[in-house]
Amino acid sequence: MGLWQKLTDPTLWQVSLHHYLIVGALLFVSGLFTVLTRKNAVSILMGVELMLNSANLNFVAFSRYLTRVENGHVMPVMDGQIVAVFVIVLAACEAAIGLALILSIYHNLNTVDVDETDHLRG
Amino acid sequence: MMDGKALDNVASLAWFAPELAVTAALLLVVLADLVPSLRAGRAAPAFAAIGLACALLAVFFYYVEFAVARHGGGGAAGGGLPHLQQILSGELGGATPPVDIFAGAEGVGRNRFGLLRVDPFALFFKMLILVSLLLVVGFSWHHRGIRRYGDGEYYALLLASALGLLLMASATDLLMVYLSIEMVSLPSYALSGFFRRDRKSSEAGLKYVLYGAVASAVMIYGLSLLYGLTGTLSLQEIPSRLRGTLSFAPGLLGQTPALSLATLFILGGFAFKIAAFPFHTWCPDVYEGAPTPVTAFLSVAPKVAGFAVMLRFLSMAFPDPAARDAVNPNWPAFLTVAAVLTMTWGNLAALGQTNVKRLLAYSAIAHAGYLLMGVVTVSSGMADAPREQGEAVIRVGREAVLFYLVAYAFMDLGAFFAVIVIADRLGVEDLDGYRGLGWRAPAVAAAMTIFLLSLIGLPPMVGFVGKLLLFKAVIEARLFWLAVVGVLNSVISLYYYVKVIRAMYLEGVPADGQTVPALPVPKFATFLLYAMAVPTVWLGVSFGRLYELVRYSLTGIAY
Repeated sequence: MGLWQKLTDPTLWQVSLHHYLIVGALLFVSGLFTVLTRKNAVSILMGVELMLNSANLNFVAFSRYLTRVENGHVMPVMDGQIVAVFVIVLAACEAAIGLALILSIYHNLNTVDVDETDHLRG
Repeated sequence: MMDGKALDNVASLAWFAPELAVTAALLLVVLADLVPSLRAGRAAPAFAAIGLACALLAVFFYYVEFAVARHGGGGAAGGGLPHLQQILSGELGGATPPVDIFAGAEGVGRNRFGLLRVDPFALFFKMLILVSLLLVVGFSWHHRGIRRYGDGEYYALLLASALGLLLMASATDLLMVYLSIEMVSLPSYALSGFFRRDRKSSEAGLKYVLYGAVASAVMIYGLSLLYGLTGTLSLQEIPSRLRGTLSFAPGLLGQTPALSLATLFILGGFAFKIAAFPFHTWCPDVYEGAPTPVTAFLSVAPKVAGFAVMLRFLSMAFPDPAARDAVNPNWPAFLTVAAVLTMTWGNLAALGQTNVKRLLAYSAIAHAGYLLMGVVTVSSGMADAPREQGEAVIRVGREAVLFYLVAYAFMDLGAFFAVIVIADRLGVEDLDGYRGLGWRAPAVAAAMTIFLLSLIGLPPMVGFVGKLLLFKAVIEARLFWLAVVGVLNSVISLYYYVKVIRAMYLEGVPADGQTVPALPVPKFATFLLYAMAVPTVWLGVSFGRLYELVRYSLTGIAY
């Protein structure tokens, strides 16, 4: 089968669970990369948001493809989607507390650069 | 494994009294902060202490009820007191079925398994957590800084964290595990940055929130993978799901790498809570910068609850530790590496410290490493041994962990409280400020010496018995090299603990005939110090009953 046939094969372009998982993994890695390379505390928090949302994507995707059989009926499993809602709420809480602490650091040191907040070491 | 009963949401409330008491105290503290007369009258710490004491009482009665049900003696609520003698004399043993609570309403979203589990294991940890929190409230009571920045907020955050800790001890559902850990973390971030006009404190808060956010994100990603691989959120269901196949991805289960990655990420989240490698780097900075009562709280309560949730996760999700199931992830290997690196790094970094608070932070990391040794008493050679023998070895390891956590709670809280008292009276946290303390404040110095000797692990302190049990468990698991690493680490730790004792007694000694001004120490502080020093010695001499309690608490835990 040539490359053209492969690319035009409709099954290749059908979105499956694997596609969601790959996007999730990419999101997670880019979030982790942001966290490890950025010096600005706000950017680090943004990277964390990416990582949390990659987990959310996984949860929702898995939940979509999971089914259980109850009284002969095939029922959807909602667990993963419920978790995603909780994680969204927690992400908001974490951002609120993180930004409050960044603000207090800014009041004290006039910077939000994590390289310059190094009064504690030894 | 025993089948317990799963209660619906309304019936569950009968087993939820400790959490409800803490919640009520939390609301009262917030409301009392709005009333000027109550705020001036220091209602917040009083409400916090009363709420925690009520919760402790409720937990104790539940524990008694479990022990009594085992004896077949009635088992009705309120029948606790006559059996008190029985509990105290260590007549415990046998297993009681656990109670699973919050399994959804009847009909709607009814789950076969609950979100939380009440069993002797959870109750044991809840008792330890509540006792340590009561002690922390005692430390904070007269702390000037906390009064200046606002009592109400401090105790509200502390109680919110307490609620999360109690949930951590009973969580049996992946969502509940994650939520309870976050419920502990979020108030802790605010607590460590509590002195908001203080540079060090706000820096500690920032570092804590950044590390914590990353660790929790890694953990939830791991949980999402585990959910996908098993198709369930309930820890109880994971073993059976791992043996079956998944409808949507038949090939996925054979792939142990995916499961190992998920487990590694989840263990990373636990490692953050117990300050173990690789998420230990926040620990020294946060411990040094945070207000000292908060440091005392952070070094004990989340660590205890972190071990509770980790042990429960491992024993429920992967009950066959020798990995006879092909799908079991190799978690003992991960944790062995973590244990070795954690204790070695903690002890080596502590050697050069001059700030006592920071020194104790590194010592807290090292102790997390010792405790991890007790979790990994599962060796690869065990697959050939009979199953019962393997289980017995693991049981000894778990017993050692629980015992050591009790010992650690008393000696570490005590050491931090001694630091608080000295910092309050002298205004120093540096080793130089401790010179001659044995003459200026004999009571504080003597108590501090007891705590430090116990942290080293010298007899007759409780730390000695704890370490003995840990090393015994490691040797029984035939992990001789790990035991050698552990003993070497203990020897290294001797140096920096003794450095503090030396500064107190052998430096700044007053010359003959010269009198030194005695340091005035409040009676309440002395009382609290000895409330921790006495158990540290007494449990080291007569440890049989505590050991029986630990053994009974582990009976409901499946392997």
